Amino acid sequence: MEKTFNIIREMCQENLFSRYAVAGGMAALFYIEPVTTFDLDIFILIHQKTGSIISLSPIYQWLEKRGFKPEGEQVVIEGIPVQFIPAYNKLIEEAVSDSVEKPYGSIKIKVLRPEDLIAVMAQTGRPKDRERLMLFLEEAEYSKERLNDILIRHQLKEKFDSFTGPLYGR
Amino acid sequence: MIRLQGLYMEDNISFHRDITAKIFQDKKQQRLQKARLPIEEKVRILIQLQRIALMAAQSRGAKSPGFVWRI
Repeated sequence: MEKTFNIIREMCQENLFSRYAVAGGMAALFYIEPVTTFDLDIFILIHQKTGSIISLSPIYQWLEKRGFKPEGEQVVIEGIPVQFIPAYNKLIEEAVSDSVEKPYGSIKIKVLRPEDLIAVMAQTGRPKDRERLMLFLEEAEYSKERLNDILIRHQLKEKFDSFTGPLYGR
Repeated sequence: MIRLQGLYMEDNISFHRDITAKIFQDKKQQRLQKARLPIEEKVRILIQLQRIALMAAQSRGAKSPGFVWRI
């Protein structure tokens, strides 16, 4: 898996994106018990002119030159299907900017913080996200203050409380 | 006799409630321990979970959710 992360770090160094952070199920793995996931989601920040459409073509072309071909929305990089997701709102942009470095084997990679992951799951709100959100609240070490601040600033407090209220008696 | 039987039943219920609480507490502790494993160990477990999920999908004739990571 280090090989996959090294490719992603190389892409960042070559400015295909200005910042990246591991998200989704793989990010959750750093904080809670192992949960099933089949792809590696990577949130990215891309420099672009205001109002222009984001294109991932440069990324796919770079990867293709190195022998990693796209399969639908994913590219299999060193045996792992990777999905590059440009930050699509302020919450994600902030989450990627605030990501932390975590060790994996002999390297360090950027991972979303647990509070940001919880907020993203609250925002997305799929059944799978709700389930993981509850695992985070029970198992992850996170800052309640930071989480509360993020939820309030991104108008997610009500949605979050509606997911967790019945179980936590709010 | 009836009172004695009633008392026995209450003790049984309380005993079973304590056992159940202990089981849930132990399960919670196990999950917390899994949450604190090193990331590399968690990825090994993830690969096993992927295999199980794929076998389950196959046995149901469901669409494959993906493939086991080749790492």
